[in-house]
Amino acid sequence: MSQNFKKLIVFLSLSIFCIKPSIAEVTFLDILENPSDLEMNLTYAKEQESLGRYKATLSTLERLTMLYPVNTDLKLYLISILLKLDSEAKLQLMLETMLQDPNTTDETRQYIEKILTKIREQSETKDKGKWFAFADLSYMQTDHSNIDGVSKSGKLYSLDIIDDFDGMKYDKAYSRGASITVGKNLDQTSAFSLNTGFNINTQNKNTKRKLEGENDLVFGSLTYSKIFNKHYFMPYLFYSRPNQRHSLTADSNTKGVGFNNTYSLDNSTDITYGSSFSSTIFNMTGSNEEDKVDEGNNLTYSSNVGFNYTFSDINLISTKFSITKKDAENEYNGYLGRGLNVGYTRILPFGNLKIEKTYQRNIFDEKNTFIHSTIDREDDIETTQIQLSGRIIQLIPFMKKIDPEGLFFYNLKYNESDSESTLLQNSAIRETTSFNIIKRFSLYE
Amino acid sequence: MNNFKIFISVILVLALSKSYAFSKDFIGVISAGIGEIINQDNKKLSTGSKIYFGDTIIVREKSSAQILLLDETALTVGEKSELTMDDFVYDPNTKVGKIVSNIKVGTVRIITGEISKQNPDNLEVKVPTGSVGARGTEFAVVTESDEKSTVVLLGPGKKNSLGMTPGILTVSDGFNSVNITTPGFQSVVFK
Repeated sequence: MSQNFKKLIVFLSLSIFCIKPSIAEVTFLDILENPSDLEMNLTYAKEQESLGRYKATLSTLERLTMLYPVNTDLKLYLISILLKLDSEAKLQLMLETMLQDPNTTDETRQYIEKILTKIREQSETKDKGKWFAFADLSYMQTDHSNIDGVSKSGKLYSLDIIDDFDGMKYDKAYSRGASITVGKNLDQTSAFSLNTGFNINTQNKNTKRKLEGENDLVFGSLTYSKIFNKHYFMPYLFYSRPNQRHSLTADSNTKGVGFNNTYSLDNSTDITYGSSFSSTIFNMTGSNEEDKVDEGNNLTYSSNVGFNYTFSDINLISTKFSITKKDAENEYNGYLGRGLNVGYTRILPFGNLKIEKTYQRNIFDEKNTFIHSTIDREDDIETTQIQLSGRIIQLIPFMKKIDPEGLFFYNLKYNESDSESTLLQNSAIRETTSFNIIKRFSLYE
Repeated sequence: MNNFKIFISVILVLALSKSYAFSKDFIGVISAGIGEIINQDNKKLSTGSKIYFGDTIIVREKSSAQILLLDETALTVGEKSELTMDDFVYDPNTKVGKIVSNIKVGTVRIITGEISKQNPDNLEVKVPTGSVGARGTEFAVVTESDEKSTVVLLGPGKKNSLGMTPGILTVSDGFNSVNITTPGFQSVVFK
């Protein structure tokens, strides 16, 4: 027994010592015990690569390049793994670090330059010609405190005579819409997109007739964007055509062109500037044929310049000065307007909060003698707006189960407009509270 | 004879326990230590130093380190960084376990290991402003302060030629979470 036991024990002992090397040349435990052994670790890296365990290869090579920073072969081996892993951001960082390393030889530098050039070319072609498309379905409900703009005094002028202003105050309006956006990334710095859609706008049915604000609106826009150094250019064209439901209201269409550009002074400061021109033409389709509907036609020019400042990464202060000139067919509808807008935006866990205040002064071109023969119209409008917008999953985290990509958006908005005018009927306070929900469908990317 | 039996028994015990030679609390090593690296007891750490459950690793200025955990998760820690291994449980046979690492400040690059491969939910990286979950990937966390951390997905990308599953990060600020699926993209987590 004792002899056999000895043999068995010796055999087992030898087996235990011999088994491991036959499974793999270098084990992970060997690495834990000898993490800086160049030969052992390099062998391990190659073995792991041949076994398809690339992350082990990667961490081993990273360790070796830390421990042996002048060994260029190790770095080139690591680069080859990063190339296969499609870890472009990390690869670029590493290559640029190697270029700055005085230990890198000229031969290696040339090799790195070639790889960097290839990466840049691939990156350019990757984004070039890439199409994208998405569709939006939207629903918005708006509560109006004074939908007809009944004056503060409840009075209005009519042919110089003061009369009562009869109109609807409280009402709800609903908007249902759909739009589709198709675009293409022309290269890494430029893209264009085409957006088209429609909205159906209705008011609460507390009256039998169709209301003046009700329409089916068709719209479209074409936008081009280009980044050039610190400049961001965004010219656009737009078109909208409301099909009025109210029998006495003529339809119209508006066509326009403009741009909104931004110049970055530094990481936190931007200057914004923009300009637009639009033309609105009314169709001669109003049922009330006595109305000269083309008198509503107008050309509108608008320009603005602004300043944005970001601090603590989550706060944005903005200010914008704007000037608007509306040339109307009937000059009493035309005006020169100047506006100043100041805003504050903060990123919150549940969305972006924006608070804005706008002061606008509009001086009209001519008296409207149908209203008052001696009073020139001048409006001072003070607008306050508070807006919270974001993704529904930010408000309701469990929505992530049905909307994992966060493509449900919301917008809550309160707006108060207080207008003081030389004409009674244009001095009015209007408040609106709206809730808008949008579902986006990614069609192609 | 008795001495021989004792000798053989000792050899056997030592041989059999080779794979389990580390104490229960041992969770990994400093696989590369450059410069000044210390633990919570102000003990200097260098290449080969063992890391234990609950250890805090502090990497001083102009220093760097790589920490290799038992499940092959690798954490590359940049200068002026501090992290704690809050939780580490790992069964090398089933490759199931859990890692919770708390990055208090600094830059840490992480290559996920077996625990994350078995169940991505079992790797959690905490930062002062939130947490990061990772699936089959490499990522970097830069914690600038108690107010702000940046998380960057490094790879593998969708076009990797190795047949690897592209990496996905889930970054949460405690209220909401976002997924990062494209290497090079980042998410900033504010308090």
